[in-house]
Amino acid sequence: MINKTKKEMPPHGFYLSCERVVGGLSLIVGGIIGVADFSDERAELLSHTGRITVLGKGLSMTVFENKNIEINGGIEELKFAYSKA
Amino acid sequence: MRTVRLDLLVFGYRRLVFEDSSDRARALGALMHEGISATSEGELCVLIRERDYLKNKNYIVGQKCKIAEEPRGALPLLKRALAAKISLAATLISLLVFFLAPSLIWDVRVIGCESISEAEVEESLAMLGVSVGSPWRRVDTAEAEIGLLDSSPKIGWVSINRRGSVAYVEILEADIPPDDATDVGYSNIVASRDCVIRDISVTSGYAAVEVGDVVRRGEVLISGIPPAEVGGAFCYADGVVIGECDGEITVEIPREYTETEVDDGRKSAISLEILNFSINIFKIYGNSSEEYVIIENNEKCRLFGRYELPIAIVTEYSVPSAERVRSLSDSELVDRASQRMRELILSETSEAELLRISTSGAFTDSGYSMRTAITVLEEVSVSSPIAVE
Repeated sequence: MINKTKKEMPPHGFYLSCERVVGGLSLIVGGIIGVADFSDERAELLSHTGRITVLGKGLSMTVFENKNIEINGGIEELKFAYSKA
Repeated sequence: MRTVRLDLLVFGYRRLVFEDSSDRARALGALMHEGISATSEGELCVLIRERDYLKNKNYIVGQKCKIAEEPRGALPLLKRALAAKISLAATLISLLVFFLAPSLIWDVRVIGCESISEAEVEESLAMLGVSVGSPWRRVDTAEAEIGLLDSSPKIGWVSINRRGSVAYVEILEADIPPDDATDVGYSNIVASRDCVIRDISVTSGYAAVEVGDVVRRGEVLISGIPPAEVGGAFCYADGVVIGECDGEITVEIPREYTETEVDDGRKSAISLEILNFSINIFKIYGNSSEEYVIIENNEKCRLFGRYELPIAIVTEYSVPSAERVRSLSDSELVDRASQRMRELILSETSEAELLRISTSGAFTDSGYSMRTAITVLEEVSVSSPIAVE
């Protein structure tokens, strides 16, 4: 099939989608270049333009071959920062 | 929250244990860069597919972690069992049971019984071939539904569905009025709509109207109660009354409407379904926000091209689409209004004789409006029970 999607992700952007699942939320993030920190209550992801912090309880992380990251669990807070520091 | 990945459980995985969470986070990032799928487990563990481990062994060994000696999961377990030459026969028997077991009915559940006992329904179903242990291929649900309806007048509606190896039988009981109601079993014939009486034919009862009378809906046309001067007992009024009825049909077509334009789709997910068990093999996340239509293609696997197995490959396609507002021209408006009017007139006159018809139409601010006045000749008699207080 020909992919005629008109909207394409910019080369240095990221995208994020979230849905409810049993036990909490499932968060899918794409466009990530690194994982700065990951624990049961905190996950820090690095994108080209900054940092995304996920706070919650009972977090689990799955990384996929296409460099998308899925975080499941009791996600409570999302923070975005423009610098990687 | 623990993420359960069915592909790891089925195809096998290897556990990596790290000394602290920062090592684990760094390793997850490194695995992501290498295109290796991995899932966190517990405080310090990461699970990766066994085949990824074998393919990237040197790279994974270079991460600061302890690697489990043996892989886990169904497939590695099966390989060990086969290698041990212990359970080959058990495996074959299990596979046989796995494929043959769903071909039998394991349970019959009856839903909706109130005054009818479930045992009575199950007994009727057993006589129709729907019982525990019966093979599914010998069950014709449509015939069983008809048989069950005929078996008891208390059952008004039946549906038999197969979910896995369980037969769900949903019934609705018939609404039979109780015998001790105030309805004495006699009835009148009344008008079903306003009309002018054109013909009246009485089979039993007493005519309450004459040809040419104008009657309202609900008015008695043939009475089951004898007039005082005649005397006698109540009866069940019967007959046919034909009336001339007027009606009006209006059709309005808006000039502007929203149309969905669908583009070519792309494959967004593939999963394997075994019985009611689904294993996700491939999925694309982060689809375009314009894509909202999902088309699912379910392809069943067949043995030797003939025998259907309880295994299916389900492919999902995301179809991007966009809504566009279209505007109709004057001639299109009139065409659509005429077609819709034709359909409504046909349904109105399907059981009636059309006497007169008059149609008019006009353009409005929002579109086109068409109105038709019709006069039909139809049977207007309906039975209405006589209630005695």
